[in-house]
Amino acid sequence: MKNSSLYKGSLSTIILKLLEENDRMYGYEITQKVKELTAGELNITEGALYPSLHKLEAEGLLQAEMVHIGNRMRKYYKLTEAGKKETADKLAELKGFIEQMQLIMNTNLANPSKA
Amino acid sequence: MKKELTATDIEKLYAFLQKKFVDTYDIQTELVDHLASDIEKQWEENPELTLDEAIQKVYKSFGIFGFTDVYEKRVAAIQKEHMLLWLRTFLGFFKLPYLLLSLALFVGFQLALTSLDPAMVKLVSLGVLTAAILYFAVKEFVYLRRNLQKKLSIMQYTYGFMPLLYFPMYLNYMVLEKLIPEAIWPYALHITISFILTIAYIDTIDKIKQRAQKIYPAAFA
Repeated sequence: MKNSSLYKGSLSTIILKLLEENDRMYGYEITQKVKELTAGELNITEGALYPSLHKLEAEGLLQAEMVHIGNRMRKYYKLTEAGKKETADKLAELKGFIEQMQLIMNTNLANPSKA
Repeated sequence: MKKELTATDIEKLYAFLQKKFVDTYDIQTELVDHLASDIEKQWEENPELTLDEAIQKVYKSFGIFGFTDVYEKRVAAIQKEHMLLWLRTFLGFFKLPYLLLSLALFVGFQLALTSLDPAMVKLVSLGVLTAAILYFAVKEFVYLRRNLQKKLSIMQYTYGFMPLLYFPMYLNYMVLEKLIPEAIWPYALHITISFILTIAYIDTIDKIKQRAQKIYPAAFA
């Protein structure tokens, strides 16, 4: 299941949801958090993560800030007000989608001949 | 003790990214932190690993396109964002209170076109607009030469839209003269919109510059 197209379509939602719960995060932290939450099952590639973060930032959903960490700089992302609203919308949309998928799956399981 | 990257190691990462065609400070800085975080994690598991070995290992995780994909998509996102910002600022001139300024400009140009020599008004308005754009371009060029110490992707694609401002104005004059040689108001409207586009453009550049200075102060003198 790792990196299937099902996940790719939800990458923005995953990022928004993590930022909603963690206030501010940086790129590497997001990849590690997803790995940890899914026990290593889902691996977000850097080549997909950064374009998504930059797109969300360009859309005004994320706000960036640079912070000194030791001898290097770190770029943190946090949700803007528009980002918070978008997160709620995206999560509601995803929840609806999961419910519909469950309905379809359950129907098929109950009537295997019609599957 | 946890093994961490030294300042020299960080410099080496910047040089590595430069070699891989990531040449802007903003993207470099974000990727340097990513590489550094990953390398330090690798060292936790295997402290014997050399920096070069660890760099190669994390570089592989970026896939076959390496950093190119990240870089190109970042540039595309910035260009789109700047165009939208310009458009939003432009549309703001059709809402109160800026709508009053737009109407005043339109009435002013209409009056000038009807009471003065229209050919002269068209020429002067075009001249004023071109002079304003040239002045702005020179001012920005000097500012960037003096103050921008590191290349920023969020700044460098901003000025490419400048020709969009005045070329349509030359062309539209020719088209309008062919289509509606008698009416005056389309010219007044056209000059007004060209002026608003220019003001919105200058304002957009200013916003982008302010944001860049806020997020990346180290890139400015």
